[in-house]
Amino acid sequence: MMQSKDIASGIRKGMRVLVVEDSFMTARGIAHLLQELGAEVLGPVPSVVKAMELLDLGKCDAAVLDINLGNETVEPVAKRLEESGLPYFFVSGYASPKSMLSDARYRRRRLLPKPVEPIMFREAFSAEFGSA
Amino acid sequence: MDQHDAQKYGSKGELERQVLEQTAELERLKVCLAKEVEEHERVEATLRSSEERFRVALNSGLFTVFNQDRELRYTWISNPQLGMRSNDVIGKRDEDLFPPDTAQTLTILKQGVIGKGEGTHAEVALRVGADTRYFEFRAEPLRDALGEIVGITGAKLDITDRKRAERHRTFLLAELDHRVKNNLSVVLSIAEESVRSSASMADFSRAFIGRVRALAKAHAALAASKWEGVVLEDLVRLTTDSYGTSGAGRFRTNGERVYLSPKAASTLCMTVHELMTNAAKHGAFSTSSGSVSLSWETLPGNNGPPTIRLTWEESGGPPVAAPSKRGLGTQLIEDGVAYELGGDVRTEYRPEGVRCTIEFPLNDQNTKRGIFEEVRHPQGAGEAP
Repeated sequence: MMQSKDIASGIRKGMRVLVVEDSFMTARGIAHLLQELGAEVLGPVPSVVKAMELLDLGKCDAAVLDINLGNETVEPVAKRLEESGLPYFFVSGYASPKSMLSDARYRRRRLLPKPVEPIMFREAFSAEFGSA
Repeated sequence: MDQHDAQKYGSKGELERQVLEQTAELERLKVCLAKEVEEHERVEATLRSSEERFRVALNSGLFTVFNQDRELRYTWISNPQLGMRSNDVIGKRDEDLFPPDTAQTLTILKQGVIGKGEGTHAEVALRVGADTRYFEFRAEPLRDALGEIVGITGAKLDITDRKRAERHRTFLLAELDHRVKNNLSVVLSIAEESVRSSASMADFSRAFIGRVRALAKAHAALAASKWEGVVLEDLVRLTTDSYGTSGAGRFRTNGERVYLSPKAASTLCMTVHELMTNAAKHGAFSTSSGSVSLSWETLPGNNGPPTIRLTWEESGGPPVAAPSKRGLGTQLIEDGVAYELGGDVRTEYRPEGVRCTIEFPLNDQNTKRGIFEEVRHPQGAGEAP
């Protein structure tokens, strides 16, 4: 995969970003924001199982994770990303979604509220993934 | 009368006087005593009715009242609760009755009352066996006639039900907040995509407003079901009523009673809306003679939950052909169900009319399931301390 660095934003073009989000339309919105930033979207996928299948392919550089996926939380995916040393951040519609996460490692991660603000999203993207 | 007599009589007069005086005093005392007895009886009656009042008040079963001495041994207790009997409690300390952490909480509070000589109150969680119950706890120093602190008088009121209700309310508010934000998030994405896929402002407003209205209908159906799951047929009727095609038998439904989860209801509502829109634009509802049948059946699953299969079948409309590109509507119909419900959608553009087959599993996520059942949090993070 060819990757070049965007001088202005520090973002690598062609970075492969996994999107885990259980709402179809919201997932498409996030995917669109990522594409505008020059990233390649992995997924989006609505569940932990599907996210793990994509991570198994070993082609993921970073991830954007919705915390509550309906009847499960995204925590196992976050755990896997921590273990692999891959950057990621969360999005959630809950006011205090981090209470759903058991480990302080995940609670320290950046969290964007829903609906996602494009400006905040770009900022999070460049801060979290820019130097990856 | 001689002097002796005089003395004697005088003394007799004195005696009589004294007797009279004594008698009067005795009379007075008798009256006093009678009054005192009366007073005593009155006090006793007052005490009895007061005790009766407290007994009735305490009999709710949620109140415990007790005394403990300076060493915090129970000397008296009424309605100990938590499966204990008074006789098992008298003479014991909290550490003999509760697990160490619970006993420690209580002992610290009570020692504070004896040490500082002033009352205290707190909410405490008491654990006995596997059961944790919540109490409002109060204690005051107990003093003897000289004002010396000889122990404590305490009371505790079981507020477990109230605590649970409070927790449930907090949970409901968080859930509502989450739903509103998620819905707004979906509306924004629909707006953005409708903008990108519309050729004109008129196109956009038709598509966007229709989709938001469909979301509103899904919401109305959910609210009507008290967020516990929607009957599929009600959802379909609500989604399709406003198209003015239900009359004259142009839109027919047939299927058993199936409950959908709030999420499945929202997804399917959007799908049916897009099918209706396409039918009105290009299919059976674009002419005055066409009709649509929507039927569904449940099929037994393969070692899993059953599957529901819905068949949308148009007839009597103009001849149709597959569209040259997949628009947002088609993507919503086909990909939305696959993505959100783990299902499968097939669209056949037959000359006699479109047929769309929608299948998805009736698993826990997609069937009736109160949204207000909590998501399983790791380590029970939703528990109150």
